Amino acid sequence: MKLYSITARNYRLHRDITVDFDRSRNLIGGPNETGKSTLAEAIHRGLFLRAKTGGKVQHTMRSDQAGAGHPEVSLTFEVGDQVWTVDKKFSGPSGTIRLAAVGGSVLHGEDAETKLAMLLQNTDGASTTLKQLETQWAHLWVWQGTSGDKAAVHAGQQKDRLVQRLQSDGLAAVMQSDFDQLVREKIRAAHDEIFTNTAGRAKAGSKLESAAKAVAAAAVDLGRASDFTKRLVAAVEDQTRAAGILAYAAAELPGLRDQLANILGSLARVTELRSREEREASQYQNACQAREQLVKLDDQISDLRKQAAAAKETLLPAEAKLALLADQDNAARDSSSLAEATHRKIGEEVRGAGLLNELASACIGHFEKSASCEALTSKTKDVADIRESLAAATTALAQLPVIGSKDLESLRKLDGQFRQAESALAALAAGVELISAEQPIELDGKPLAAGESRVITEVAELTLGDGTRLRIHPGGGTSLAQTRLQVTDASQKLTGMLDRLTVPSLEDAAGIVAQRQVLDSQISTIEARLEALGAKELPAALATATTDRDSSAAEVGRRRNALPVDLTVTLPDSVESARLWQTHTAGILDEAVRTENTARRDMDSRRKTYQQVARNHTSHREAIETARQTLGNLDASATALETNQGDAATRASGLVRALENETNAKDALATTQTTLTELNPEALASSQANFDRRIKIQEQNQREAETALAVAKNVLALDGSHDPMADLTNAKARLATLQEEHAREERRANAIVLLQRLFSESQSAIIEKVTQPIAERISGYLACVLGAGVRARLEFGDDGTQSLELIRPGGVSFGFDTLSGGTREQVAAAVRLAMAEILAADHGGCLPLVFDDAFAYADPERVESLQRMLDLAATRGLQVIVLTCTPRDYIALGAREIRFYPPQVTVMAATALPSAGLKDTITLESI
Amino acid sequence: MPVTFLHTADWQLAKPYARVRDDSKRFRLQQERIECLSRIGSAAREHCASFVVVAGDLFDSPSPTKATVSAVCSAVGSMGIPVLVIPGNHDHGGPGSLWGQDFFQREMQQLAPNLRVLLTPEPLVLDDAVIFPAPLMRRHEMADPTAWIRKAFEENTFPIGPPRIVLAHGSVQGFGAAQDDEDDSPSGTNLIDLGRLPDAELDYVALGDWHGTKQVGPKAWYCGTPEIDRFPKGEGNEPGHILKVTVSRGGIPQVEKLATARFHWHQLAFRFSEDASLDTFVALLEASIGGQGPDSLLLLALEGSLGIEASDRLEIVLDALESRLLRLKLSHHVTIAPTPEEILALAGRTGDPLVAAVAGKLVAMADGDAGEVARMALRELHSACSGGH
Repeated sequence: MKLYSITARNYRLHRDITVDFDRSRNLIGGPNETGKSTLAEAIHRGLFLRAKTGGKVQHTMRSDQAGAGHPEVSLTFEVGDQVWTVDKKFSGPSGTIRLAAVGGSVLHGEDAETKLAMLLQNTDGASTTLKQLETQWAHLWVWQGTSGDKAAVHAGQQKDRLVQRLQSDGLAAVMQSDFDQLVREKIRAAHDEIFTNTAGRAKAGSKLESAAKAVAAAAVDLGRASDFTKRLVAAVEDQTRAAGILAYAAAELPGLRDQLANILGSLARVTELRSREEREASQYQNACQAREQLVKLDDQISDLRKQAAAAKETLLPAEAKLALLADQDNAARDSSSLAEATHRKIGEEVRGAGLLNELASACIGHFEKSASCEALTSKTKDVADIRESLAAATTALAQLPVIGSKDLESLRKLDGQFRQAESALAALAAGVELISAEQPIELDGKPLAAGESRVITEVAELTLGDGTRLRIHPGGGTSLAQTRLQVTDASQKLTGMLDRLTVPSLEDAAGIVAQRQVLDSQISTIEARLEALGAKELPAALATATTDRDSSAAEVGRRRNALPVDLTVTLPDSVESARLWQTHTAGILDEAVRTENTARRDMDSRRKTYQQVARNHTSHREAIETARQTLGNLDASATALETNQGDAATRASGLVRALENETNAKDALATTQTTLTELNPEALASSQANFDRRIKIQEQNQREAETALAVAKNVLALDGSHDPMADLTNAKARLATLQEEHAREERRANAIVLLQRLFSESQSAIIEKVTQPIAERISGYLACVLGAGVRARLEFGDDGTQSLELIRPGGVSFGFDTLSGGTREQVAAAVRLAMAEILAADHGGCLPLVFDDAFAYADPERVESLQRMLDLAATRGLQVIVLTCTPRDYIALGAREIRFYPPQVTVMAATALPSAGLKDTITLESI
Repeated sequence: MPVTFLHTADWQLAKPYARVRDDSKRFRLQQERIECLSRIGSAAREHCASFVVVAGDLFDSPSPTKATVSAVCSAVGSMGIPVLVIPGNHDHGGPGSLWGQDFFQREMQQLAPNLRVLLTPEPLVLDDAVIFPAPLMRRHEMADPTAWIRKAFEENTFPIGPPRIVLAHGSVQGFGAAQDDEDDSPSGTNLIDLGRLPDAELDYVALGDWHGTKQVGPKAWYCGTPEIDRFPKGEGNEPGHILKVTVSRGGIPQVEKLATARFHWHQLAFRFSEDASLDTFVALLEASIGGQGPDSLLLLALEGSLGIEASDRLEIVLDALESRLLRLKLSHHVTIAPTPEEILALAGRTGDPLVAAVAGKLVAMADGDAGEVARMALRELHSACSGGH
């Protein structure tokens, strides 16, 4: 199939464009948005889109020019040796198609669509949706942005056609038959019926999975049945064990209880014996004590007698010593009494001397006090005289007004102010003198006599007889009045002060002040004299002196009276004689005191001696008394004991009886203790604990066994609705049967898996034979761009997958996905070219390949090599159509070039390019 | 004075027949065991038996359902003569066993007053016989359950007139159910030492446990199960009987086998040498079973090999056989060996290279035990190629 030309009208930006194609190499160049891709789309839809397609697909094809009609596409192409023209008008449901064989028949409508699909070998028929369109000749149409898509996918989609083509060309030796495929599908179906797509697991609901589930469920049932029977078996064992325990306990317990009863009897005997032992021990102890008491009393009596005898022996010398000490005591007491009498006599003498001496001293004091009293009396008389003169001066002063020098100064100052005011008034006054008048004249209401003059110091009204009234203003203005006020004020102040001082005048005041100053001076002098005489303290001193004098007189009297009656003395008459007497008596007193001191020391010595002797005497006497008392007590105690216990013979027989009692009690106690020892109470207690424990254990075992027995019986008490043993047998059998079934299914599944694997492997081997020729062609194209030695390996998986690898010299392989963007574009192009080359035979030996900006990642050098690859394809009969923004890069292709231009340059370019065949372009319209 | 009685054992009533997959067949097998009791009753009446002794395993389980208990009591009651029973290993008298259950006691009292369960190892003195029962009180008894009888004769005296009959259940001299593959009793349990019994003092030893009918001593017999319940192993087992015994004190017992079984238990082994032998096998089956299919059980052991198509036919035959028989117990060891024609039909398909290639590989893998999967796969492939799947 070869494209000859296309005409697109009202197709998006193409209002009416016709492009004629070269049969092998075409280059459509132009900047973006000039309609290259739109032209490629128009060709594709002209071939594959049903003319009556509406909706969004049709809408997107329409021109946005106002008034533009429905999109139309006309294609002229060759299939085999026949040239065809197809005209499609895409107007939705009313769309039309016309297919005409040049020089032949013309078809319309569905016939035309069917025929066109047949010519293009489009078994799916014309498309109506974008999704369908994308699959049409996708291996030949490289749309913008899809050049690097997985090339192997396209190859896989064309696999069947490729294989058929290769087989028909004799290139693929063996190919699976339809029967192969049928059987293969059966096996695959059988496999898929059993297994999931992933992980090869048994599919839910498959026989294998159902069998496995049934086995698992049966195993659970078996486990349940087994558990149940195990519980029954365990219950049987429990019941058997419990019955055994109960039987053992029933056999053991009576014997144990009998033995325990025996032990308890023995223990009761032990208790009784211990009580008796205690009682007998007490009796024995009492007997011992009684015997010991008797012995002790006997010993006590003997001891008392011995002690009394010893005390008597000791008392005799002590009593002799006591008599001696009594004599010493009497002698010492007499000596001490004598010394005391001597001392007393000398003391009297000292007292008499002392009294005389004190009387002499009292006399001296009296004389001295009397003299002092007289002096003070005289001084008091002087003071009285001075005080009389002071009173006179004070009286005189009191009679004068109390005016001080400051008062006088104030008076003088006021007087000066008054006089100064009067002078000022006199200077301001007016004088009125009535010289003569025929009618009465009155000044301020006082008649003014003729010749009379008056000083007017203030406003005055002069009234004439006829009623004329004249007002006189002396001094002018108000100054006269102020001056008058000042005179009055000064006068009042002066007068006021004189009145307050009660003096008639300033001069009187000055005289009084002088008098008062004289009197004050006199008074001060007198008061100084009085102070010098101590006038203030004098009365008290006189009183004290008088009292002292009187006291001293009384003292003299008292001391005189204190003298012994028989002593007669003459008192001194003067102080001097008194002092002589006092000196004399003092000497006597001193001598007497010395004598008394000597006597007192002697008396003290004798008294001390006496006291010591008396203490010895008393002490010894008391000791003897104590010894006598002790002796009496010993005798009394011994006597009392003998009275109670009897005499020695009686006591001896009592002691023999006590000893017998003691022996008897001891023997009884020993017998009891021997019996106790023989019973071995400790062992009995241990045995009792042992038997108690054993009985408790057996009773506990009994209770537990009874419980276990009840539990086991409860478990074993079946309701009879089913037989657990039969259930177990059935469950085992069912599990075994299901396991066999599962094993059977598993064997079949394994067989299917084996078949699936062998089919897959065998099919892959066949497919490899098919892909080899394709890979060789791909390698041939790749040699143009990647150099010789680079090979392609194409694989179609049994599961519909495809893979393409690039093998560089040396055997290193690269997966398509691992290649760079540019290399992927080249490899994808090589795959497309290889497929197109093989498939072209089904299309009259040629197929067009459209590359729309397919090599975006290619650098100029790579583009050059690409051109060699495209050129090779063209050489091998393919029609290559390259759409590019950079047509200059493809000059080496030697292609027919159709150039699209943007609006501003279109006019010039369009005229310059003969092959575009543009009759009307959007760019021209734009201009 | 001689006495005639019937000796039976191993009724194993309510045996589950668990491997029989079909419910109705299983029910028939179970039901027939109860039906068999009426035949025993008829025999007792026919032979004027004074009583029936059941030497253990009256029930298949120590805990049968109430329905089974009632049915059995009803059947026993209809016999009309004393039926003396000891527990065996299957229905031992240990804790939880049915013998002590209230329901059994009530049913026995109401439906089978002639039934007497001997649970105690002590002599039972009847008018015309003295019974020495050896009941099993647990499933696996380690001691000889008849040991007490020797002591009993050492310590006691018994009436000299009536014959003395031992009633025991267990293995004797290698005979016993423990040797049967369907019984799980461990060896060495429930052993009866006949040699230690006071032979002169005893007149008959009625044994149970071994399902075949067999005399194991001058006076000792296994009566076997009255209705066969398993495929007998070995020769001369003769199951499906009861024994009519006539014995007097000091005499030799007169024993007569009475057939009581209804179902036919067949055993057949066949080896396929070629595909044509399949027809021989079918003919043999027909000859063996004929029209007895509904009352027959078959233990079938198959060996040899068949081609794929013949194997498929065999499966069809077996499928039909399993359907017709009460039970088909199959030991299937027939391998698939594709015939040269079958191999050619698969691996020789020149027009279908994929199938041919796969078939060729499978044929290469199909030999030996390891080739079972390959043989199965060949069969699947053959089926797929033949329009199967």
